[in-house]
Amino acid sequence: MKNTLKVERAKLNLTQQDLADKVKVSRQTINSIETERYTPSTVLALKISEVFKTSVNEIFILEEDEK
Amino acid sequence: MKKSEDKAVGLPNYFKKIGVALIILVIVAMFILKGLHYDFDTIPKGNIKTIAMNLFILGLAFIALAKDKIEDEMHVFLKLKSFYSAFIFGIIFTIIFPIFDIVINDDVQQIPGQQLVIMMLFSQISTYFLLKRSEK
Repeated sequence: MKNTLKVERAKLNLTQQDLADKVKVSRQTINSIETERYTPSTVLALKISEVFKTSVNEIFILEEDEK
Repeated sequence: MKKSEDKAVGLPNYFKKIGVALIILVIVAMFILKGLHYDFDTIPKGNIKTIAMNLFILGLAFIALAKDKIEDEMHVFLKLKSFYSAFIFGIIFTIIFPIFDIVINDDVQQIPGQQLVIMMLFSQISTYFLLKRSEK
């Protein structure tokens, strides 16, 4: 699963730590999501989308073989 | 949503410190007893060894089961992975140990339960530590 977390973060000028604090997880978790080593739960994906005021689908995109 | 978020299982974080203290205490106590040439006749030597091993296991268990300062869903996932690998390690150890015994001693001995638990706990703690480091 791809994601646009880094881009969205850059738009709001947020660091990984800032985002981690906002969604109450560790900075490592945000880093792992960004580098696609960890797929977040629905709850965390919704929390992240809420921070960026966009839909989950716009941040997390399924790859062709996952559809 | 709150209900499911509160479900993270584990001992409070301060149990990690208690675990480390317990392990240090056991090691120091054993060294002191050995240094003082403690008269093991008053208390059978086996009993002291068993008590020390059990306290050591308790210390390791506290470290393994204590939550991190920030315990989020990824940490729970990594913990699950590390417990899974420790369990597999335990199974492999149980299968391999008698083979070594046959090769070296020509006789199959029972695997000491305490030794197996200690090795599994060590495996879990080290795997979790390595997994966490790889996520940085």
